[in-house]
Amino acid sequence: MALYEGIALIQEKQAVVLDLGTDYTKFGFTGEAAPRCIVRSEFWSAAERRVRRLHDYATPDELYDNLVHMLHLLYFRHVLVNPKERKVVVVESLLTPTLFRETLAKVLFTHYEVSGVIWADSPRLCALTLGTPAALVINIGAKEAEVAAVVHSCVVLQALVAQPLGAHAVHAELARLLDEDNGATLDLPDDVIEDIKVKTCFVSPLERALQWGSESPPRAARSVRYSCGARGSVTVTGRARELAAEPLFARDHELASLPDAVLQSLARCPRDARRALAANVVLAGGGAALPGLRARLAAELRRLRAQPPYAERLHVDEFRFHEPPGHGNALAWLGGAVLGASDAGAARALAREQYAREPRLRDWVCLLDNTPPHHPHRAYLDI
Amino acid sequence: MSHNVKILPGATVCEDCTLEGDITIGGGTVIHPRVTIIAEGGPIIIAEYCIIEEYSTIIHKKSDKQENPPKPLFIGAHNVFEVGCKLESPCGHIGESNVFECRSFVGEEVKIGSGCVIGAACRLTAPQTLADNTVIWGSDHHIREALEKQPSQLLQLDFLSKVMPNYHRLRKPNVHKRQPSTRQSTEPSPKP
Amino acid sequence: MAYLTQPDYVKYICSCGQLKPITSLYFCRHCLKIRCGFCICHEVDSHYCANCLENMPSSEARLKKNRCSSCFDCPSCFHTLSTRATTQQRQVLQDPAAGGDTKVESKQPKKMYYLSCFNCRWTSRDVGIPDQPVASGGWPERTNPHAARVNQLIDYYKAIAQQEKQEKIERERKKFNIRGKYITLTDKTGLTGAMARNIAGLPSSESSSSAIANFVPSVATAEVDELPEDIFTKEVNLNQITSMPQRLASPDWQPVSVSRLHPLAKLLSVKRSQRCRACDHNLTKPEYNPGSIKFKIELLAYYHVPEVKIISHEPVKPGEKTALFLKLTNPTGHEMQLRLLQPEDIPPPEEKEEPKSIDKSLERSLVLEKDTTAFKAIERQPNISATSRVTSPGVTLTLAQRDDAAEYDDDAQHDTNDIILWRKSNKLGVRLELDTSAEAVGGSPARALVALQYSYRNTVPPAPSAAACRDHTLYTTLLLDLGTVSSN
Repeated sequence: MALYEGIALIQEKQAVVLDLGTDYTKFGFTGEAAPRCIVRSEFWSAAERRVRRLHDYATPDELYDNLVHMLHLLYFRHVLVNPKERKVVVVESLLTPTLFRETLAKVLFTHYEVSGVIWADSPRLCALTLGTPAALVINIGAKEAEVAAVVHSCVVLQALVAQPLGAHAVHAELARLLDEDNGATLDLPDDVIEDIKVKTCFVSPLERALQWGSESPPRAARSVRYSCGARGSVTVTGRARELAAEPLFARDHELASLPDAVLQSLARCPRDARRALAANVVLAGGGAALPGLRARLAAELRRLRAQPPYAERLHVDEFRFHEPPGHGNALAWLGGAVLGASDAGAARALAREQYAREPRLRDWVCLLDNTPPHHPHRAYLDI
Repeated sequence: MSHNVKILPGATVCEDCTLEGDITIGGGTVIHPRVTIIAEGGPIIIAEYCIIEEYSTIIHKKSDKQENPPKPLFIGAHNVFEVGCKLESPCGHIGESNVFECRSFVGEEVKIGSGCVIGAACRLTAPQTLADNTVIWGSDHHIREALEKQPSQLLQLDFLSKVMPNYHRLRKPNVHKRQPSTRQSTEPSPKP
Repeated sequence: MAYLTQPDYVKYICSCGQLKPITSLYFCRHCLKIRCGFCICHEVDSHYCANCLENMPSSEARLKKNRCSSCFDCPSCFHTLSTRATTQQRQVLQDPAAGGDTKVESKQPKKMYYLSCFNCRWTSRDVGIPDQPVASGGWPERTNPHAARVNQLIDYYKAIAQQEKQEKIERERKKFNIRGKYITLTDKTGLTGAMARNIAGLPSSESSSSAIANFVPSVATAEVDELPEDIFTKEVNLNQITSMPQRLASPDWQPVSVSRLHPLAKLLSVKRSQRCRACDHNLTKPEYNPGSIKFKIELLAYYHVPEVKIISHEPVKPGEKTALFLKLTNPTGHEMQLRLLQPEDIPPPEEKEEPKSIDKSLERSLVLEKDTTAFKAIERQPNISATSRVTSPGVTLTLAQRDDAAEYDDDAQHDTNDIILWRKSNKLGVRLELDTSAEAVGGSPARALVALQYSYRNTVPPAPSAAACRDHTLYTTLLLDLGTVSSN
């Protein structure tokens, strides 16, 4: 570590790692084991006199303003460094909207004049924290759960599966259950719902979950009185505590549950990588922090593996889970911090000069960026 | 002005405060000016070493459910009622070493144990029971449990009982120590 | 005060197109343009602790992770913790047992300190942190449980990058094509790292190969932690579980149980200096002393641009002319000539200021080369949709310079005419006519647009070569918020 810092002093300023999530933003320095701050992705808008969420925007200009304000807050309130002439590692989902990426690049390069940006996708970064050649990354974020297979630091793109099964799905279900159990439309704000979830909810094991669906439901866990300030108090029943996370595992004919997403992703992977991937599963994202979620997911995967349509296609015998070196909600961030600290990452940065010459970002969906040099179509692209 | 106010020796009670009904004030307790204590529903007994600051209000409310004869509202020792706080209670027992911070409000159906802190401007109206050492603070009524009771304000009491007579007219203690008082609990414990 | 508590009725259009009240605008004396927080460059000037007002050099701040070493925040409610002293009773009680020598010493009971929060009454004793014998500092520090593993990972990837680089160099030399295992990680490598190693005289390859050899990838297990058995039967004590903000306040640990909350070392604050993007001159620069709220450089628009306030106005009616009363103030130390114009009458800025001398044009071209591209990108077309226009009276108003002594004269001079209501030192009350378009819908917000032309004397000592061009004619556009258009 000391060695690294010595080099860093000669080389350049320590880069920062930025992960702008839907709910929480993680921001800190490369080479460190945890972000300096994990704050809600929102800021106080003086002109409107209200708190604005970063991801609430209607026009590109609005997004630009949001990003400027958010980054100002992060740089000058939390991390306290000059953005100028400093590299940034941007941790992004593979499914980040193009508008968001491009606006972020514009803000970073023109408004904050950073010297370079390293664009890195979260599955690869999560895999980076393990050091294994293959990893199946299940990232449960605020809005979506993404399953991606990473083999030798390459994302198997056709095996990318995303379902809207993030923390918000759990929140919605919890709000519904609370309304039902209290017999009133409570209309609790998001942060209260989140607090109830964090403090009381858990994911029940598979057998119990099946019992809930059957005729004889099990004896519910203890219910809790949750007092929410001046608004009075709410009863959180054992049923609500247990079943709030069930939407993640609810199967229908579309097979759109979280374990299905994992198995579908595996089935789309190359046959020879599947076993290695199944033996290297890692859960990331803040949504994965619910107690019992890992155990339940493991049990579900082991059960569904033997059932159609996966039984005859998958040929995977065992699922093994990793214990990553960091908290789930900042795991992708941690990967970014590791990547940014090694020279390999720094060398992949999009430099400011390069952006000034050609303001274009590499993107995996763009044919210009994903056609190999010897591909017959390449000639048509390089005009 | 009711004549049922019993002030035990050692208590410092300013004249400029409203005391109505059957009130007993324990020794060592300091009552600042402009305090309102109304015992309309039944007697109020304030134990020793309490501090009741300016503009605080303690009301023993009338209620239909009340037994006959009405149970007293007993306020334990070492309680601190800060400026402008309000306590309305039809019955019950308030433990020791609680702190009612400035402009806090404790409604009728709240039971309070010992060592609790009701934060500044917190309004407790919903029926609830505060376990010992509960701390409530902030506009969202965050709750936590403290490990130990709040430290008592003996130094402050000492200071107030010395300084108060220099600036305010005081009410004279009208109950003497040896005289058997109405209730055992009101008697100041023979502390040095 | 009105600017703090009331909505912004009068907004100026910044040179970047943002609409801001005069109090959040700056005035660059070198570009002679209005700037705002959006279009200037912010820089960290100095670090300080907002609680103890102690300055911290930025190198030290970096070492301490931008945390104050003596101040702490409450992990429960984030209020600042206070240090409280107690006399240790045990010491006193031991007195008789102790020998005669120690008796003198223990006459003064030993003071012990703990941290306590006055808001939520959290104390460091709640989580079992032992009391400290010194008032500040000495609190146990914790390290991230994963720090060692993360460092291992970093070393490993650095070694791989190193190896890749060397392989690549060799490949170049031998024209021997092997595709590395981790090719995607390092498909584009620079030489900076290797060069830095050479410069620093560090061993290059030996250590890296050992780092690769010794690295153990994370091991996955088939067993996963099941839920604790008692979760279905145990009563939940909400007070024992931390909330999300409490967890995220210490990202390294994210404690789940209240009993694992530790005092948070207070995050430092920064003093910022602000710079004009176009000319790189400082617009504000704070004094170094954290206790001082003054500035060394303070180019606020409030001190340079005429201030406009609405005194009163008649209800705005569609298609009608209504009266509007404004107060104009000259904040500068020089007499100011002021004209009210229509926004369209403002001459385009570039043509207006033709280079006076070759030097100046050269300077400007240098500046242009420097950084106007970035500035241009930030610029935006202002969003002005005004229902009304202030009719320009076509006279030049003269505002006297600011005179602090004149504040005490209370007789307003009534040299009235059609426009001027009253005049008082550097202030002027004017009566204007407001022309509202007939299309304005009743109930919609009424906004009026007006442009100001004002003379400005630049007090910056001129560059030796530049001729004495100190008086400038400047323009600014304002948007007045006049409530809503009345419907009848």
